Amino acid sequence: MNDDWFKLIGVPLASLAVAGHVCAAEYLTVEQAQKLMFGNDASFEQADVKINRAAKKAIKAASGVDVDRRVLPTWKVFDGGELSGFFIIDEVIGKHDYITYAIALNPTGEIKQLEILVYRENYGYEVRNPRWRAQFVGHDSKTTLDLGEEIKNISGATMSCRHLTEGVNRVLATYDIFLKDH
Amino acid sequence: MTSSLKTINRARPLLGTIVEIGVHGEEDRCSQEVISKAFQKIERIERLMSRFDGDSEVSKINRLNVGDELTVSSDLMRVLKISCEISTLSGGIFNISPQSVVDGDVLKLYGNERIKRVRNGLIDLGGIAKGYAVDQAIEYLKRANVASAHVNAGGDVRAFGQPHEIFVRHPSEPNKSVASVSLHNNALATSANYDEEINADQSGIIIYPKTGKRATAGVSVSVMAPTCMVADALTKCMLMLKEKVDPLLHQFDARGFLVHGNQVTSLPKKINTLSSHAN
Repeated sequence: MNDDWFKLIGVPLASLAVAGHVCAAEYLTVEQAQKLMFGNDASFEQADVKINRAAKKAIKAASGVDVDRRVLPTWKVFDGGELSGFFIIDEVIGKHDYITYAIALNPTGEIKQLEILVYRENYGYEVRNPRWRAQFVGHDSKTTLDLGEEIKNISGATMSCRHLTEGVNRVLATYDIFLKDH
Repeated sequence: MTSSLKTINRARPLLGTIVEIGVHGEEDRCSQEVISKAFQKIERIERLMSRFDGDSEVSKINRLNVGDELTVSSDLMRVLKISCEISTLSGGIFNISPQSVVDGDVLKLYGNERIKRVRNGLIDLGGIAKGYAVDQAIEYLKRANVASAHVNAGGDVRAFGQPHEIFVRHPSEPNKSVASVSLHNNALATSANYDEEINADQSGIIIYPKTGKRATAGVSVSVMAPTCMVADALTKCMLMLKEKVDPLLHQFDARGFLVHGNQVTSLPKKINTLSSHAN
């Protein structure tokens, strides 16, 4: 059997699509994500959450995750005049660089959808394998996501996914403190 | 006439990694809906086959007492059957229940939907279900009449339609590629024990079930096969068996390459030296 099905090529991986890894990709704009998650008829009212020092402590205490930003970009979402949920943009460090993602919450704080907006990881790399799970939908702030217990998956913990899990916990804790009572 | 075709890519954290789905299509809205449904196919497989989700079929099997029977989905049965086949052909190198290497089969499979537990031992589909989830998303995209698409679940990639080029990372120099592969209606899976991961994160270790021995660090293997499920499972075999994996590759119409240091071994066997080919 010949081996011309692959080419030996040693090049820097920035901006290339790499097996085991998707790098430096912009998937959705904020507007695209909003429409995707809540539909074309929804209206969005920006209601950013301002996080002071006391709030950082409270969020850290509730989620176990450090909070390093002062503002969490947040929108209240309305459909037919009724609150239909919240749209939140957050960032986590993947392995070496930031991943920007959007979370859609329903009015009671349950995760409706999660989408990666920008994945800037052009140096980190993924190892597929053992015991880690990532399934976020349906969780709320009452259940802190925990590797191996609350989070479900089939295989493969990657650093990026662990950090995303932490980010989701932080967002849910922030919802609990700032948005729960609208 | 100018073509209005464009590629839409989306990514979500699923299967413990970042899963990217890309569709080459005509309409934005239509493609977005198709991609969302393809993600749902992956979520469904994740729900069925997660060992840590108490409601999954795998967990139900893991709670069975010896002698108990269970009706399972056709998806799970398909994965169990191919797992058993690869396990037998690899002499137990690939195994969904490591204890069974010593004790014999844990499950008996009947027809297309019944299983019976015949020995104690946990089932873990971690070495194969991710590839199957990719296959299910791809099969859905084909049924949805998408002309061209790819699904990449952290190294388990399958594509159809237009050629889809991917680069395989060097196991010892993670900021460099070692090879490029162009997928044409087939799948590529890559597994590795990267040096840095072993130091920083024990989750990257692949264990040989019979002896508990770890796969060599700084080694990566890539397998191309008609389906991602087979490619996924065969990478585990190849990491352990090295060139002895050749009969398995033939059996499943697969091929692969193994990277260790500066040497790339193409399997079925042929050795290449990186410095003479690559920068």
